[in-house]
Amino acid sequence: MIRRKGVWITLFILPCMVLFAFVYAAPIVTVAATSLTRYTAFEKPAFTGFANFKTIFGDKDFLISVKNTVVWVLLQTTLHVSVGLVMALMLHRKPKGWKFTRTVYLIPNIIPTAATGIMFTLLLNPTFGVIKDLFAFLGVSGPVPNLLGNSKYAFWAVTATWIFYSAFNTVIFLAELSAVNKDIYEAAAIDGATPSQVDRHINLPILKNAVGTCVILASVAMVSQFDIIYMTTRGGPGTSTLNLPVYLYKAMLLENNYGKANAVGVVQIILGVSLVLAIRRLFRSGDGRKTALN
Amino acid sequence: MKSKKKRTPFIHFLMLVTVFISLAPITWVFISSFKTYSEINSSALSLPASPSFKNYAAAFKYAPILKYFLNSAVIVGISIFITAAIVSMCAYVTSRFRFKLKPVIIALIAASLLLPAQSVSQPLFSIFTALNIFDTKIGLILVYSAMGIPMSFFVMFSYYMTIPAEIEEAAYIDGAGFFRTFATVVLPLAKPGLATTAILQFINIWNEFYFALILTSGDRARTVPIALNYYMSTFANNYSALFAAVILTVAPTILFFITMQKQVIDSLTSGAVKG
Repeated sequence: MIRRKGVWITLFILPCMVLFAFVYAAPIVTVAATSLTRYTAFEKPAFTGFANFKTIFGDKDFLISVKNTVVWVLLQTTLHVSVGLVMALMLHRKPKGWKFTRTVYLIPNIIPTAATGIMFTLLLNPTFGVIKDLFAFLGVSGPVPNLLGNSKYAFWAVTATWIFYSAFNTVIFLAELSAVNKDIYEAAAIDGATPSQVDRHINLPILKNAVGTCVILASVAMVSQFDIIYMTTRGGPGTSTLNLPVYLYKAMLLENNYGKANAVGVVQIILGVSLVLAIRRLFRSGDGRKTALN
Repeated sequence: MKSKKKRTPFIHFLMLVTVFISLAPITWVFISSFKTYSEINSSALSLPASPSFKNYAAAFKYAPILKYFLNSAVIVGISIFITAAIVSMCAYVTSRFRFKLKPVIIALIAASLLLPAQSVSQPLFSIFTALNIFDTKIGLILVYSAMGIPMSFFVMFSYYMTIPAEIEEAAYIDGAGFFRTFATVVLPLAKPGLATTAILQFINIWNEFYFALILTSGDRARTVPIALNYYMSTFANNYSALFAAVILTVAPTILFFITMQKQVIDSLTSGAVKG
């Protein structure tokens, strides 16, 4: 019925796949191949086997960056998603002002992450930031600590810039809950279920798949978290906020060591994929709704 | 119903905390942006004695911020258009027809959703330098158009699934060709899906930082998020202007969000559930 169907299919797929190959496929192959070479901004790739991997796994800074990345993934997939979940269960009860709260809560997630980075740098500045007045108000004497500039606090100060801002998750959970047949809630109300029982026995089981999706998204986001760290601490002081993306960035553009950077890229991809596979295993259930991610 | 009311004070307290942590930082930056340098230094929480626009004047003076906005608008606008065009075609045939490469295409695009941006950045950096598109708008447009493919593909793919195939069959019987049927019958029906992809693309690339950072070096292609990085180093000592710069860069995003919030929220949810 359709003339030359095969030709049309090819023509329709081609532009998308060409761009895809140029920006994703070809670079991935290049990264994998050149991770096995000595390759810098000034010399062409020369095969060296696993030398780059030996170098990075022998580098304490690299191991710390892996550790920080994994800790951030763990915090984000648990605490961050839970914050979003609690917010959604709360707002789903439709208390007065729930729509306003949802809108306002989304604002920190909508603005550029670079702006979030600057805002927290300003807020936490010991000379003129709100932190100074806060310490004065609390009656703490002595110099105000520089939370982002002190390796004792920097990791947690950076974490605080994103861990509570879970509105994307909240919105996903709310949408999932609003699609539920209202009869269930009526039946629960007739049976005398309290709101927290409704949450525990109806809402949480319903949200299982959505939680799985959000946990995967949170994990992917943390494996490639860069913007805020770059704007606030650049991985410092020392290595206290160094993670894989920042380590890779430094290897590539500060050391000009492309082979090393791409070895880090390979590790980053493997780490990301293994985390997602592990999470999928954790959330797997027979009747799970299929999405692209889980 | 009764028990619902009992818990309300606690819920409202938590909502208040949420509103506070969401708005307090930006409100503080907004108020401080009208204070003088010495006012900012003397007390963080005081109000400006008389609101001054000097910081805004400085922000405009030391960096061509309008130019950055224009760069961002051009780059984001064209990228959204390219992604919509190529993905609407690719997702259409992939969702409608069976062919050998179909599972491969779906698997590849799904896998790329998980790809950390930094991991592929060195080859892109080198290729772009070799092709002379480093530090150009075209370079960023290419990357951003491609970055939009995975999410947009799955949104469009599932949207086409909701359009009954009978509509196209009727068009073929009327003698319309393949492309005409797609462009005049299918695409108009898929408008809501396209709107979703456009909004998601806008949010993602208007705020995109990493590629803008490594693929630009001058004012020619610098986008708004990178302008913030530039301000951060330029105003290291004159930080009162930094407050104004932050407000100037976040205000358009917030205004866009407030006016389009229903569409934005719908897009975010369909993007996550389908992507």
